[in-house]
Amino acid sequence: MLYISSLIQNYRIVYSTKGFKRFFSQIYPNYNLQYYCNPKNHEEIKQNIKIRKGVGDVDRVMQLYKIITKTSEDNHEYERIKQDLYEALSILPNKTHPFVKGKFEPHIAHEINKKKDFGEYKPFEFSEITRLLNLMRIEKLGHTCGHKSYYFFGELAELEEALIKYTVKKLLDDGFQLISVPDILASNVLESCGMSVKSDRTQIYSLDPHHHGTDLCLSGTAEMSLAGLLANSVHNINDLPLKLAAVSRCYRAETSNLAEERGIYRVHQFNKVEMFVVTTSEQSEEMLEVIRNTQEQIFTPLGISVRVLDMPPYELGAAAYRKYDMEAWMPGRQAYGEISSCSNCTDYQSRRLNITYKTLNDEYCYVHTLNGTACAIPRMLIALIETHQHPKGKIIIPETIQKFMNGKKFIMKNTKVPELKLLKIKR
Amino acid sequence: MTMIYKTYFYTLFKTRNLLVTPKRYSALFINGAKATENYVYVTPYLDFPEKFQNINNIKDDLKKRKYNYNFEKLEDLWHVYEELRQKRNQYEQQKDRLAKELGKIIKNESEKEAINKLKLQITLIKDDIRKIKAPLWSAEEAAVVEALKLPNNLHDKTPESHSQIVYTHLKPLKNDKNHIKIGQDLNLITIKNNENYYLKGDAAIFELGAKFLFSDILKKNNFIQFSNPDFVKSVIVEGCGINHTNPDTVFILHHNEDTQINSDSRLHLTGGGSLCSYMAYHAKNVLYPKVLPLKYFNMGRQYVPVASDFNSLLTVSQAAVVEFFAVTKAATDIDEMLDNLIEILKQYYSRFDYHFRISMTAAHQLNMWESLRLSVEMYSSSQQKYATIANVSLSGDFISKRLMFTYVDNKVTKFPHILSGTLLNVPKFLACVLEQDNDFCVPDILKPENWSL
Repeated sequence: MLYISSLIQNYRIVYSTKGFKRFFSQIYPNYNLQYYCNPKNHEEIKQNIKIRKGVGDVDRVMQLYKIITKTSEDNHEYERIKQDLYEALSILPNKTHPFVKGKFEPHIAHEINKKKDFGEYKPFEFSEITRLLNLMRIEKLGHTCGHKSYYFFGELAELEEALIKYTVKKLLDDGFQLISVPDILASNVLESCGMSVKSDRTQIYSLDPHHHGTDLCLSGTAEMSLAGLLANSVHNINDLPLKLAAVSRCYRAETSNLAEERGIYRVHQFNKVEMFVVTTSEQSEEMLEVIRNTQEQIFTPLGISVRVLDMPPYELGAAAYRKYDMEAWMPGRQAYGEISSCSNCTDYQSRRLNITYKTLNDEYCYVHTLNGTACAIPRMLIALIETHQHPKGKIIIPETIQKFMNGKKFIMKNTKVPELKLLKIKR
Repeated sequence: MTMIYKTYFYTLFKTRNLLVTPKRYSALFINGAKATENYVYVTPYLDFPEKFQNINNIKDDLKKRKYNYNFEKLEDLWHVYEELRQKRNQYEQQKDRLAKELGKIIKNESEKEAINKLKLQITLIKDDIRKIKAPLWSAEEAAVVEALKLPNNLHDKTPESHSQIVYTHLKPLKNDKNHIKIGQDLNLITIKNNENYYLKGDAAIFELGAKFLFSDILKKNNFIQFSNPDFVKSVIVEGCGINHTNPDTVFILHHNEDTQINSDSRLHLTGGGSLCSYMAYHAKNVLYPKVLPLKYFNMGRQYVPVASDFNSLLTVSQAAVVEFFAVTKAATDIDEMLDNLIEILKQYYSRFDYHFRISMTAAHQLNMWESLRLSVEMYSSSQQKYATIANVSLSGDFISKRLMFTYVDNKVTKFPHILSGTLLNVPKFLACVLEQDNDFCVPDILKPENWSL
């Protein structure tokens, strides 16, 4: 792998036709202008926006493009128009895979493990189980560590560690390279991954701009950090696909008052094992299936019932070309919950981050990037604990996990961590 | 009456003089009018009157710590506060006395004149009480906030001027390696700056393996595993003896909500691998004495802002760590726990063929909340000095009192003693390991094939 982070590299690709005239002007991502600004594609792009989330205005893009082609670079208005054009381009969504284009509902692509039959027994929810077995604290923490904070302890914390070991080991066996990533990132990295930092203040945590500089955000997923690592890099075609994995903290500011997202279903911080793969433009479709397969191989031995959904266009984020969601059956909640997903982002991220590869003909092409969740801890724990609860008040640890938990077979009631009592303040 | 007013105005004047200081920040101590504006989660237990009986000890400790603290100022502030408080108490007593007198005669028609006189006196005294409220609050805040900055007592074993080595494993190496260069040559590290670095391939495996091995050792030593959140509120940060308003000591998150910014009620990114995170769990909670001692640990992140111009794994602000938190009933139980931790540290670090030493930190290098600190140090060739890769800190009941972490013994509220620290700081450990004489490879015990039975 060859890392080139210098500006010159950036300019060579972005400004090869413009020379050094604008050396000191703003750096623009190399959007696919031939496609997005070609009137022939107008209808197709418009239709694509419509079937997706409706974000983006292709009419404005075409209009600005028309103006800019007629404006001289020396005109003082030129830079402003260009900025407007690139801003309009930046929010256009990726193309959509032809297979899902006409779909409006998720399509079940595969089902893993049957739902467990509990017979007469009515399975408990995760939060009830953890309360009864004293494995987690989530109450009365708002004043000391913020809304929706939680602590795992005892064998639940051990299970978290075991799941990380199990997942990482599987990924290493499958040829993934492990990376330890930073959690504090510059906002432009997040934006390049398809997050809008300015409009998504409610989704992203950032450091106080007065105290720590204006530009630092907390990573929402290792996908962002890994994309940041690869920014401005050129890869040798023989090194692709490049398969990376990371265990990281994920920070999400989003809140939810929905009853079905109670407990630790949607939290502000959690651990996650993530996959991030870089391929040539030809390899990415097949790679999405490889990632999906890896995910299925991770989930199957855990005994949880999972359905794999091929997601319709309106469910795709701006960056995704195609996306699978994996939903696990959570018997206590009596509902499916999303535990994982994988997406093919084609060249959406690589154009923004300037990640290229050199073809055998010495041409530079944008790589395709893909990402997938190997194990997101909180929801994985919900699915596991609810599925493997035993009416006698214990949890059966899946066999494949036992060797990562020192051979333990069950999680029993924790009596070592005392339950706390809140002090009453006398005034 | 005139006498009372005279002293009152004198004290008020003195208070004002002493209070002409910039706006005071405290998330921990909130009183008076502020207490109605802000939600007060916890009020610290103030042991200063007891502490002040031993002023020489305090002054001695401050000297040993080389701590920049104006003790005379505190004495002045405390004096003013005490005076006003006594005054207020006098008024209260007077009011009670007058009310009692009034109660005796109030139904007696013939004493109309006396009744009216008493009523008037009560109104006046009530007015005095009302008037003294604001200066009293102000004086109380000034004195208490200043007193809360007073450092912990030093432990007898804390050496005065130089760190004291208590254990050495193997001999120091002699080379001039630099972990950043080695890390880049072997494609193990990408470091953009101290806030942004990546460990790649074997370095990332080393990170996980090192944590997992420690986790295993701690569980075998009956420590209970935790998984902690990364954010804490200002009150916890200040409670743990860290200045919550200083961005050089703790990360402050952007205030996302529409409400007005209050610098005493912010969210901070400390990481789950921190004492703050354990105190956020325990603050304002009561335990039964029979559950003590407690021994907890977690594998998590630790975030500490770093002001360093040069970038290295020894100065990065994000670290993967193994953090522990232990609680005992009394100071006397701490020694045993301390010995236990030294043994665990030896057990872990001697599993590798690296030189390390354990030392007792000198008084002037301690944080204000620490009374004793043990450090595990490895030699860094690039820095030409020892780097601390682990520590065990004794804070006694200092933080328990600030954050009302209590237990009840025979119906008496008591404060448990705390021992805490970072048993493994992965980036610092890795930096020193990369600078060893031998070429870097992941030690067998840390390899993925040894992560399971």
